[in-house]
Amino acid sequence: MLRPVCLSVLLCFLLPCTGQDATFIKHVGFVPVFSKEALQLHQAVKLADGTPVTIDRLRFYVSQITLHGQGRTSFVDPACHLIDAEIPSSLEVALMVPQGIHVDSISFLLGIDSLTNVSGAFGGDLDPTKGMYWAWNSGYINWKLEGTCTKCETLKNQFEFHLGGYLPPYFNAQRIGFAVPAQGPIAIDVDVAAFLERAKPGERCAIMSPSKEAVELARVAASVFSIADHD
Amino acid sequence: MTERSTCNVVLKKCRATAVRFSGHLCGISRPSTPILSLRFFASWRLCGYSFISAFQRSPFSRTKPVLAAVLLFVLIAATTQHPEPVQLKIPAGWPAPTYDFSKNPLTKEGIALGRKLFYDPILSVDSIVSCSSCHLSYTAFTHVDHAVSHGIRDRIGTRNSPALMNLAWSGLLMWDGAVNHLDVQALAPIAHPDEMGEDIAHVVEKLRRSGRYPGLFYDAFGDATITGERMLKALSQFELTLISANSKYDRAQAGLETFTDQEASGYRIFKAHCIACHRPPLFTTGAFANNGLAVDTVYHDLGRMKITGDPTDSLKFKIPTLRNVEFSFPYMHDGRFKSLRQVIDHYAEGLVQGRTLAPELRDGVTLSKNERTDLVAFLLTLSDREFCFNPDHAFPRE
Ligand code: HEC
Ligand code: HEC
Repeated sequence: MLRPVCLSVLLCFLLPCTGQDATFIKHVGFVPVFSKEALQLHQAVKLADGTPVTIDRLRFYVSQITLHGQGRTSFVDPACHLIDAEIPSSLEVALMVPQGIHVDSISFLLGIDSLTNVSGAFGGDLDPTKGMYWAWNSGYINWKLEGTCTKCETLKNQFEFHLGGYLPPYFNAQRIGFAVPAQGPIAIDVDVAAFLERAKPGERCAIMSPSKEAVELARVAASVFSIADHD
Repeated sequence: MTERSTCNVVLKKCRATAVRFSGHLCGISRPSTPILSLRFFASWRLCGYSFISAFQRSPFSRTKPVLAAVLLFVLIAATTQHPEPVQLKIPAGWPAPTYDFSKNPLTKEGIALGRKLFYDPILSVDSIVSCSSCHLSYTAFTHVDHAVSHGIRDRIGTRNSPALMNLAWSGLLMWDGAVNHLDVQALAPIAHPDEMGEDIAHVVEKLRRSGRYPGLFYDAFGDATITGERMLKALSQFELTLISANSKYDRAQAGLETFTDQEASGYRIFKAHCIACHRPPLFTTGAFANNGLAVDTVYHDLGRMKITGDPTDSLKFKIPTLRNVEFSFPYMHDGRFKSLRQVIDHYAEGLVQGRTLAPELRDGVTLSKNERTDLVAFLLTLSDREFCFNPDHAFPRE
């Protein structure tokens, strides 16, 4: 008998605290896939037309993650996140969002905005030691996909797609958005096979600087993100 | 073990675990109070800290923890000058710097660390080349008498190393503007296969393993963690202190000295033909222009167009400062001219009327032999010996 009383008294004290200030964690996960399967790095796989490829590296930046609800912006994450298929802990972003906000869609930038690109050196995920910064021509690499494909007549059949660039007309970062369920974590698939089927290693094997082609491929990269429907 | 050495052990331990004590206090400037040895302070602070935590663990007194807390507070407060803020002296009449110091506040320790890095071949793959190999302080930080700079393993770079000065006012860097911020500039020579041939992640690894650097990063940033960002910002800090503003020209402007007739005549010619691009007080606008050089036959360097992809930028290069131009020979991005006289002869006789030639030079520059001599005399008034021989810029000796 005493217990419920104690509890409700406690609740009365605690309730005022759960107003505006309280936050909860909203997880946003990025799931590298190859077609329908989870992406396996360093393993031979086949594209739809049978072309054998191996993926050795997939890294990209996600920034300005924004949650929207009822037509309004309800939350903006100021951080830039480096997602690296090799590092499982990097695949999930934990957002500390205010309790009680409405969420019906999410949007984010695939890549780094122009202002950050011209503002000097940063630490954390943006530290130039992460291998996502061009040394000889300032700017972040937004998306880095490397591997091998027999169709590439390069050293060890390597392909390297380094997409970036912050200056017009070759501004490279792409905004991506989806409708999402109001509750629960958000899982986003990133389909490397779909990217390669349109990037066509063999027709081109290396993109290493900002260009029109890099912008086209960034649009392709943006198109291979989708809300996961694993159940 | 003496007390001092205990402190050193504690200090080392704390550095290793990268405790951040006063990082948030960097950049807060206070009127300068007498500074005791900062190292000494730092070790005392940590020593005090461990002493206090031992104190707190002792079971018998309730007042002691309070006392300890007060003591700790006092100890931390006493060391807010670590690292010691530095205010850059802006020469009178100069515009505000373009560098955003709020993101990288200058400190005595940060500048010292940057200077050490600048002179340390640890930044290159074969540990022979340092920044100073191509940027020598005595010659306004350029590579004297090399048309294009030498790098590691005697490979030859494709461009002439520019003089380094007044970088707090710089816009885009490099001859083609490939680099957009001083903080990220060092990445280019470090990674360039013909310059230092290293990888920034590996350099940071080498610094972490080195005996001295963790302590120096601790002094500069309040904790011993070495990151790419911190390394680059320290280098910037040193480079930002390289201000040249005490040439005869500056003293003449301030009324402290007078030009000779020849120099005064040269100044008039300069104002008529050169000032649009080489604009005082920096003697550059920071913009890009085609000053009528024929495309070089070896590298076919198209300059700015390589970066923007815009054909109207073809053969445009960054307008270099003319301060200390006496020392920055050979001249132009590829070092094609050996003397100032040759440069002026180029402007007077050699302008190539290309599609992108600067409008200021379209009509040519007419200069008599005497006028050319006067112009050279004026350019020599831009030399700043105090800058070149400033002991604070030279190799750090300890
Ligand atoms: C092998 C010679 C070499 C080394 C070593 C070298 N540099 Fe340079 N530096 C150059 C050359 C050449 C340029 C011009 C490059 C260009 O325009 O493409 C340059 C340009 C610069 C600039 C741009 C100046 C301006 O006004 O645009 C800065 C700043 C600079 N270097 C600093 C450094 C620092 C810091 C280091 C050490 C990490 C360094 N350099 C190492 C040769 C070198
Ligand atoms: C249209 C703009 C413009 C004008 C006008 C101009 N310059 Fe230049 N100047 C430049 C550019 C751009 C460069 C670098 C070109 C390169 O290396 O390809 C340069 C380079 C130089 C250099 C070489 C500096 C170095 O360290 O290598 C000197 C010296 C020089 N100019 C002197 C003069 C003089 C003297 C005049 C007047 C007769 C003049 N300039 C007029 C744009 C200009």
